Amino acid sequence: MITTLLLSSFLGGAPDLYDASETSAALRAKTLQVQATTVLLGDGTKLENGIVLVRDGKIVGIERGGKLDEAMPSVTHDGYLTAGLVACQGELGANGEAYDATRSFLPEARMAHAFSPGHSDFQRALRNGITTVVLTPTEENPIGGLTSVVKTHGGTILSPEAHLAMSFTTTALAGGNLGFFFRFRAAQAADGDLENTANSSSGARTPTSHSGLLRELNDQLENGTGALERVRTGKLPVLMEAWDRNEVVRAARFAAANGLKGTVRGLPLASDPYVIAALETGGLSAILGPYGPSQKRRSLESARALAEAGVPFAFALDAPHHAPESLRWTAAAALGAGADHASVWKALTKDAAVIAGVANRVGDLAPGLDADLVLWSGDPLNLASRVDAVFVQGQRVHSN
Amino acid sequence: MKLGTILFGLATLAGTAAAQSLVVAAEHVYTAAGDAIEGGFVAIADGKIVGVGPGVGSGSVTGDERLEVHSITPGLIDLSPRIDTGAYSVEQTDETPIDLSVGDALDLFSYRWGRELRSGVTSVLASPADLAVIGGLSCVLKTGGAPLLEARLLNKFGALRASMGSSPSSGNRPARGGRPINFYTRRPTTRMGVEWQFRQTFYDALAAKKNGTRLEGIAAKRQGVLDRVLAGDLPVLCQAWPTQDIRTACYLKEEFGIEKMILDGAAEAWREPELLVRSGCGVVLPPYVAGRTEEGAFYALDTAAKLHELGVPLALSGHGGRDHLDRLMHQPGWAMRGGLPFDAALRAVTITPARMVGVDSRVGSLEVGKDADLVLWSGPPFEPSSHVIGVVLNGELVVDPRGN
Amino acid sequence: MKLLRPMKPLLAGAALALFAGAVAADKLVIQAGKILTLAGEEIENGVILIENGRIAAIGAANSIETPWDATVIGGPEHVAMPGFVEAHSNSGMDRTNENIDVAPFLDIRDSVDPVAYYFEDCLRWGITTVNLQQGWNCVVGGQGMIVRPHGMTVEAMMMRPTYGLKLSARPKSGKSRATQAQALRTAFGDLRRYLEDLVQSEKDERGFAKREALFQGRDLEGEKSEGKAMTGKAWTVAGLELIPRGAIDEKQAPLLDVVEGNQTIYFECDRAMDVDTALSIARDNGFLEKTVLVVDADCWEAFDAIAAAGVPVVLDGELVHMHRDPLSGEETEKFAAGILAEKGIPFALTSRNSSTQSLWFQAAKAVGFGLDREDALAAVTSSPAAILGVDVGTLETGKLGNIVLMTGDPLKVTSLVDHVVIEGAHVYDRSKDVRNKQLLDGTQPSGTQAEPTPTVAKDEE
Repeated sequence: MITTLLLSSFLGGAPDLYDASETSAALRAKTLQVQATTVLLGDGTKLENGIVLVRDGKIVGIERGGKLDEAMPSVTHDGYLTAGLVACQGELGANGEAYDATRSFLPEARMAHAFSPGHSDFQRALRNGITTVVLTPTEENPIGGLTSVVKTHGGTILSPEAHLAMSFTTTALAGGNLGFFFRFRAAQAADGDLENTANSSSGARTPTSHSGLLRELNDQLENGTGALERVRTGKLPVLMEAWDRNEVVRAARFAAANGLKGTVRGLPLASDPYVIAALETGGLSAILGPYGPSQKRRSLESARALAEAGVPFAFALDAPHHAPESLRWTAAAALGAGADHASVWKALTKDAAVIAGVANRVGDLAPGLDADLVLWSGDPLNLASRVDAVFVQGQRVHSN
Repeated sequence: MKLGTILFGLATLAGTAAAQSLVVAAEHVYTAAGDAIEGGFVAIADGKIVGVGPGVGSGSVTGDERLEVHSITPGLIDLSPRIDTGAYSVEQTDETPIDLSVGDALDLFSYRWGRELRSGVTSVLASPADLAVIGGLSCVLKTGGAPLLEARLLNKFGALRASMGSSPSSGNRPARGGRPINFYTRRPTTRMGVEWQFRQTFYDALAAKKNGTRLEGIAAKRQGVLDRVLAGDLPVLCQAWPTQDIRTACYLKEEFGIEKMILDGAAEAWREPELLVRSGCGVVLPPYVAGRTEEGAFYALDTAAKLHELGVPLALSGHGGRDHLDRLMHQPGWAMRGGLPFDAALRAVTITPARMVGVDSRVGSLEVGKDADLVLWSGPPFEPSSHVIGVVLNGELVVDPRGN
Repeated sequence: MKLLRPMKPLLAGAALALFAGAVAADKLVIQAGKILTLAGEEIENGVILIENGRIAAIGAANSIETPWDATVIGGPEHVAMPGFVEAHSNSGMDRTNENIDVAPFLDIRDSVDPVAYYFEDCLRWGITTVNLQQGWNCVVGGQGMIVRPHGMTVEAMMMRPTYGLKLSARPKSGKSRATQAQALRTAFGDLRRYLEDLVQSEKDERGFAKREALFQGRDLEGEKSEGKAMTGKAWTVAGLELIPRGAIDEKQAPLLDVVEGNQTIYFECDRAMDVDTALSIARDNGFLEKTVLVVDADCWEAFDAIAAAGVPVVLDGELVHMHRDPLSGEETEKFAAGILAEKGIPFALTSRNSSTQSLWFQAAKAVGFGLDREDALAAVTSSPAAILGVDVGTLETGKLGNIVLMTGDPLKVTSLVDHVVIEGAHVYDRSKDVRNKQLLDGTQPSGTQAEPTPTVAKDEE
């Protein structure tokens, strides 16, 4: 249970286009080998006494057992070594910035522009082993904007537009926080012609009904340019917020009818066979949780049902409304309700990275991926286990 | 379009239990198609009725499922079940969202469908809530089966929902409460305004039809729906409780030559029944309340009996009452208390509403070839002391009188 | 809405004026094609003779001699049965609740409105006895009474004054269940402390009542002159016999009656957990034997506890408890009256409302849900009569002459009440009920204004 940092040597790496971590890059370990009693890969495979080799912030090799190279700086850890966790939904550091009350359809709004790397939300997430998060607009607008995938340390933006966020919830139907009046004003500002707005569905006004929402979304998708066009042509996936079963089925049907790819977020009753069938037919994945202490059993069983049906899923963080601890809490609750260990673990790492569209960078321990590592005192799905150290791109950024 | 795939994928999951074969024998079989059969049976196979007649029906279908009950009626049909998703079922950014269908705004997972089904309602006309002057298309659906539109839909074009009176004008305010702040909240505020909106819509439709105006997109969809109405293919189901609204609806029918107009909630239809006869409107009566109902209309107990005597097409409705006592199964009883004969009361919750919304070839009576939707009763149907002890939907025993 | 107001008394007055003509005949003969005595066999083609308000004879037509001077009503087309008994109601009052939490000193007689539509409706649906108690929105409510739903004054209606007291385990609005239970306990604790203080001050020779009487040169009479030992079962206050009963504060006296077991308690329970609160407070203060629980169908889970306590139950309104799972939305139903019958708990049903879901409907519906016809009819006649301890509910010689003549079987939807007789007085005749005619076919009663249609003013705020 003792983490020993033997040595660290530092060297700067070439920054990515969206990599804002030049300062820390200078401190990045050039080479490092990390050995742990158990190395848990993104697919749930366990390596006893495995070694992860890191160079220039990237993983360059995984060894099953074997001996440490005496010549290289190394870390040995009595416990688990995993990839950093990937949380699929949250507005960390952007509370209040993720919803624009005066515009209902914001296909070009980017959460990346609300990214505030120094915010304490990210530090809190990091301390809980979460190294990557998907920043999402809230569900209060039918089209809330573009999600963004960022690291919790170093200001790295992995993906400036990961999904177009849509909402099929009743919250997105005229109401929300500020209500109809402001939306009307927005319509007026956008169009200058109320009569026209009223009857031509030009899209500026917030629909009040599920059927009106579909009409607007279809209209936008059919005629939209930019992000909407990328969605239409399958280049950009969607992240569709839908809670009640009828909303999920409506969203899945909409996606299938328009050939959209993506994921559904919310769905407390994903264990319903009709919900699963709808997701399967649309080829959609799911983002579950976060669960609370009063979550119903049927809801907790969603992960198991999705795993059995082979529908990929991940978990939402919903920070800052939920504490970052709730990510692992949610996963453990899903495990406790019968989901298998590997599926739940994938939902925190590999599958989450796939759903976030950044599996080429994070979410697993494999050569070529970012060296985002977490050292745990035990199995991370055991809530008694704690985070002993966190590495982002090979640099130790947190230790307990 | 990938909708077909969805349908397939989900329909297989739904698992059609319709393969079941079943014979239900009863002391009284009320077919709603001709006289009641004393001591008869209904035989069911593959979701359809394959035999109806006197006797016990032995050998009519293979299989050993047999039931005996006091009475059988066809599954009940409610044209005003209020089974929508409330304010989310109707688009309010537009007074006449005619191109929209309530089918896109239903919650088929809602417990309320099961509640209707358990109390014997097997088909309903779901409508958007009355918060727009013309709220869009109402759909006819079964109340059970897979919770998917394709699995339950009987007729996508059941009716075009309209509303007179104060609810669409309720109104000149934000959709979710608050005060009418300025002219951006611009709905009609009076009955005159509501009526005007309806007329403007139909004037425009008539003009477009006459001039052969080429329309595109949503405008074309709207015109398509209105053309159906003007051609007599699609009824208008218009909410009208008090006399003034009933009159308005009748006049609108005449003015625009709307062939099929059905008045919903017409509690005050007893005041001027001749007007209804002259105009040729059908009537859906609301659940019985002694005296004043919605919109201040006075509901006389003999309304149904009066309309029946004059030959006005008549349906009864339950408005999706939470309580057993308010549900559709009790409405024929109240109408009978007001003097409506039993046979007419039976038709008013079965074949007449089926005809009104164009699904009578599928449901509404117990006849060979129709869907096997049956209600099994513990005693004489519609008596408060009788209960719905069994329900058959699409040939499947969804409520088993043996308590399974 | 204001326009409506002047209208109501007018209409009610018109209707009541017709009923008011009814005077108790010394001898009344009721003929019926069928008599449901609810005390044994039905009588085909029967006759009931009522003398001085009570049933003097009942039997087959050929077995009873009709006195030459008797008034005769009914005929072979009628079905006669005992008048329905409403076991518990808080209709027909000015307001059903007082603001004060603990108000046992109030009497419902000050609140009853004899011309309320409610009493008219009672007759229309064949109800001849009503136990009026105040509403549930209290901790300790006022005293109720049993009335006949007929008469121009409260006195004329009264059958048993100052009968029954309302306690509520269901929290008064603004209270939690915990504060409600505590407020109930406090009410009895306060009474006890008050009595102890009184005794102590008497012992300290500060008996003002006696002194005052002495000074005025008069004797205190009867019970007032001296107290009597407290007869409470669960707790008593030693030395209470020193206190003249008249000296006990009238605000506390009714509660003392309760503790001494002289008053029936109608204990309101909204949920299963309330039942335990009600029973324990009744037990702790010694009035369990005089307790009737007024329960909602939600309480079905506590019916075992009720059976064990041996108290009767009034099922308030709904017959069925519907529970909906908050997540899946699946609905389950429990037929509460059926469970009561199964567990052998004496129970009465009550009307859901006075206009459509009256007692006959409730009984019929209970049969629909599976209760035996006999049990269902008893639950709206003889069972509530037994709970109230009134001499009605069956048709037997010696019972009060409360009789309903219907056009058919009482549980059939098409049967109507034609005549109602209360203690030998012919108080309702459908052919003269103008308001019933209006409800049936809309005919405006003559001599009344047309009722203006209320305008729906939605923008009023």
